[in-house]
Amino acid sequence: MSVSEEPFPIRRRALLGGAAAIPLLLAFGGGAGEAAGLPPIDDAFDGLVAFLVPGGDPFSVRQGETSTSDGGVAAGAGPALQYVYDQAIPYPIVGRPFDLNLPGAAAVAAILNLVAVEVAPAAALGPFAAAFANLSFADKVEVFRRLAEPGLADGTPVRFILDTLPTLAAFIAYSEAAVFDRATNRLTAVPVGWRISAYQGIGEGWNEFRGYYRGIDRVPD
Amino acid sequence: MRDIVIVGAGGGGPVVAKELAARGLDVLVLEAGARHLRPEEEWTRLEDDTNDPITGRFRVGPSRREEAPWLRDFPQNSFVWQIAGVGGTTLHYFGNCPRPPAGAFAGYEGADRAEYDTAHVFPFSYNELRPYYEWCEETLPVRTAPMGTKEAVFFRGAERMGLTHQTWKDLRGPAYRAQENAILQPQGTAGRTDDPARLLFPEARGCTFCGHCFQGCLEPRHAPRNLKAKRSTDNSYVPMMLTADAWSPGGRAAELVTDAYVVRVLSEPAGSRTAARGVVYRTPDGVLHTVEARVVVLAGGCVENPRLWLNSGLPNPNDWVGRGLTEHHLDWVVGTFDEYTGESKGAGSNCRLDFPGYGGVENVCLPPALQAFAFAYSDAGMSGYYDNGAGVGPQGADTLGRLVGDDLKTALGDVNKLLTALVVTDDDVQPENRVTRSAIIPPDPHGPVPRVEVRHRARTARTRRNREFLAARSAELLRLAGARSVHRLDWAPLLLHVQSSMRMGLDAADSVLDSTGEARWVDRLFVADNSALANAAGGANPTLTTQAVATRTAENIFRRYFGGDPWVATEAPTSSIDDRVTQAVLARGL
Repeated sequence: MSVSEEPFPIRRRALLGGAAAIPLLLAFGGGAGEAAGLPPIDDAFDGLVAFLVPGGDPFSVRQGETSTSDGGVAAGAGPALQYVYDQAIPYPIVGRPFDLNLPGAAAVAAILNLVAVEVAPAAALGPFAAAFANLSFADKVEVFRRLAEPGLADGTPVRFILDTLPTLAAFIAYSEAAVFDRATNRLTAVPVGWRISAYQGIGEGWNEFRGYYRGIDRVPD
Repeated sequence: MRDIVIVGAGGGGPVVAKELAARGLDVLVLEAGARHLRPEEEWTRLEDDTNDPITGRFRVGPSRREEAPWLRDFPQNSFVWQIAGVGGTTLHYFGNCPRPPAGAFAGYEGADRAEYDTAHVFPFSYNELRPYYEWCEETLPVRTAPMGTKEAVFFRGAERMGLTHQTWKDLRGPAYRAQENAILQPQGTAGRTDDPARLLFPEARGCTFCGHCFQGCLEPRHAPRNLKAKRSTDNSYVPMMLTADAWSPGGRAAELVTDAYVVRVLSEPAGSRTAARGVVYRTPDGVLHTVEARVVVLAGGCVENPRLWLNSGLPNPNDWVGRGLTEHHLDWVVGTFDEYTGESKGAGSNCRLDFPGYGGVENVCLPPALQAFAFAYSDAGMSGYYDNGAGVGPQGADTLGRLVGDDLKTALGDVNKLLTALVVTDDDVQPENRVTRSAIIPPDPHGPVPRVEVRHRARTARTRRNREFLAARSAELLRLAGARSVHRLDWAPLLLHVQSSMRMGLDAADSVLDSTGEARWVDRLFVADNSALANAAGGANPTLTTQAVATRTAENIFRRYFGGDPWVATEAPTSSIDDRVTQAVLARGL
């Protein structure tokens, strides 16, 4: 978490520059938008994962829905989810309905923040850099209700992207993504998602064989 | 010139390859994705590392994971769980091998015949395909699934529903039963200990109840590849096709090339018709390679096959290439229990309900991140807040829609106190559900990318009826099993079971393939994966039917283009766990 986060990570500048050669008109009749400044990404994603899986972190406190056990922010799901969307959307989203000209996690953050300000204009004032992160839980729900409305982005990949947000955020929050070292193929800590779901983790097998139902282990045609 | 070139090493391609390699033909299999040759060293079974649909090892994308996935255009709320690479989507399938209802086939005269998708039946009878089921069941092999705690809870609910306990393979009516699974039954210490040191082959054989079917099967450790428990094609048909000379008199080992993306089917005029003559594939270095072959078999899946066809400029006179996609209109109903259910342990699914004419319901074993994915995926808004105008009801569940916040966290408070029911709907072929080429996402190095359209809220009345019926039965079962609360998701399209986008059919006006599996307008071109199925296989998990049809297609290829005789009716199949296969797998480092 950072209240005044660095808004322009180098890797996003590079990504934006590299992808600009293939601008994509995602909706009907929309022209390429002006290149936008990059939105506050980190806080937007932490606000998102706190919404799906609340904990005791400041993002959960801000939304007014907390938990005594760790949630998505403590799980490190925000940065991990950013990486997923940078891979999933390597092209800039331009045209209606959002006119962003941004790729990847930056596009996701911009969409969340744009709609957050529509829902609650005061959300732009902080304390977090991302308007979405400043919303109450109910207002975050309202953001998703508006994003899900039939007709908003139907027929475009934006429709698909919007609907993946809660799903992938939940998936990442309960996964090992933030504590897995791909270089060594090993976990660096017990994933938060395992602890809060009472999951015993990866095993080679379990003492779970209870026989065959009514003793039948082979059936005829 | 090769005899056969097969595009794709997923659930169907290796079946044709194995059968024709056993006949001594020169078979080349081209796979766009990764080889997965050393799973014990390569795979972690961790959920994000494996199953993240964008960055995971099992995704639709290049084997080099630092690269982005292959993009597809989904213009609606939907998701895809397909996999590129050897084994294809069978890498995360559950090995479920139910035979489909006879009503999905031509010539069915049962009293319930009107209950099926009668406009799109298979162009042959169930009885004609039955020997091919038996052949595949012995090859894989398919056996009755064992029971863990979660199955015991499921069976308790099924018993209280008053359904028949089915102890035979062919469907005769509504029933519950242990799955017929392509998973080796547990033997030795498998399923009988938690101790990893005692779960090594050969002390442990078959399913160890590890709970990681969706992350690919590498158990028991140290087992030869063809003796791994789950019979995904990387563990069954692929080892067989690569060792055909060792176990089949006159056989010839097939060749497999991975990271080989087929970008074009080559064709030429043949009189008044068109005939296939080979393919062009692209390797990661950007080089294009041409392979000429007497017969081309497409087995790249329901999304890639139509894309490849259209990108190759092959004829499509009735405009049915890519149309008629079925995906079982899946849904998810979850019960929360006060007791231990063992939900995260054991095989992916070991028991089911069948309702011929409607589809089925099966239990599912998943670890927590995938459970969270399933809990947060819906077309019906966020539970307790808004319904997105979905127009479906809970069907006996307490709540409906995506779970978020405290609701999600509470529901997933103990993953081993859940019991999940997957609704597998017998959905109708609808021409508007289709694969085309995207006009929005730019072409990738393999050409214009596919666009997958599913009109989720414009299903036929029968499809909607079937899904609501099955969701209600799921809720009923979970309550009778003792669930404290029941939640329904109303999933948006989840492309996990996908069928019939290159369908075979009785009518030339609404099908791409004839009854032999050959393209109606292109000689020497066959399709042999789920896309070739005529319909949703009556709501049965599709892989066994695909493999049976692919076996039949292999016979048709051999008979028509190589002058051979069919073999299924006259020979006995060799099992993929036959010792001759095992010895060849070990000797060749497969």
